[in-house]
Amino acid sequence: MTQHLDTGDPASPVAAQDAGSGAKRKASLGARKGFAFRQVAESKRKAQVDDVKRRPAVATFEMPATASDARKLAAAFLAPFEGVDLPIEETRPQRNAASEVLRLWETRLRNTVLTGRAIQGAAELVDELRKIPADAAVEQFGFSGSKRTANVFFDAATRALLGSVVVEQ
Amino acid sequence: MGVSFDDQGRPSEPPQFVYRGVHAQHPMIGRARQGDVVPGDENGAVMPHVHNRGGASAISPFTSWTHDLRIAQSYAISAGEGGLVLRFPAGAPPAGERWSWEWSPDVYGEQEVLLRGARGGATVLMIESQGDVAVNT
Repeated sequence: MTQHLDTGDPASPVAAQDAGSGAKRKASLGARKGFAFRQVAESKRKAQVDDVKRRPAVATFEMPATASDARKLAAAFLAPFEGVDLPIEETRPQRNAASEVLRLWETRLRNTVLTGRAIQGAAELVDELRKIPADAAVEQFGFSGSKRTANVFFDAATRALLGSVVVEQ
Repeated sequence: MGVSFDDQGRPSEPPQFVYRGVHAQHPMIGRARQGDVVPGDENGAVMPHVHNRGGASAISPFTSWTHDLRIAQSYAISAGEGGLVLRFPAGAPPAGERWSWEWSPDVYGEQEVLLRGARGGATVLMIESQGDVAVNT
């Protein structure tokens, strides 16, 4: 036996049966309301997607062509964070397998429960690292400042920004 | 646990031990099972703040240690079963030793201290179910 659930959608079989007399007018009104609901839902979904796109930890920028370009991009990306200085001795990125970077940041993220110290962007970075092959090379640029420490991560092959982590000192 | 904590999460007395979690896929897990500690590059020029930030272990003269056994356990299980925890008593090296403890900025709040150089003779704590540890005798 097929059971139809009344979802509130006027187009559903249950709603149509309940309409009774005058069903056409109500169905027409309901259809318009349903359309409006769908429009609102679509609008909400789009807003959520836009919000995610705006979040710096997962944003994708124009691909930097070289490690030097990537560093400049990483520095520009971190510019809004007051207190993140750019030490001149670190001009080359650290390069590690994605699986190792993922293991480290999954662990540090889990450890925040013990330390009570938040790592901004860690959850988003872990999500992105889970999407790329375990043996993919990841480049990491580190920044240490008087108030904050940050790392910015790129996929070494595609130069796609994978995310960033920032901690208050 | 080697250390107790006050209500602010700080050690309430001087820590007796330092711990290091070594995960099952670590390149030095074989040496770790023998109680040996070997940094990625004993002659590396990596600074403590760079090591602490992460991603530089392979070229670093340091290995990461913590006064919090729970943190060490967390690293030990980070690659599944087969990891272990190493333990040393806290304290300065005897004269003539080539290893030393160094300060870490510990920006992640993991009670990290750094061991510079290679060192042997660590007590090996095996990971049991639920991440508990037992001394490997």
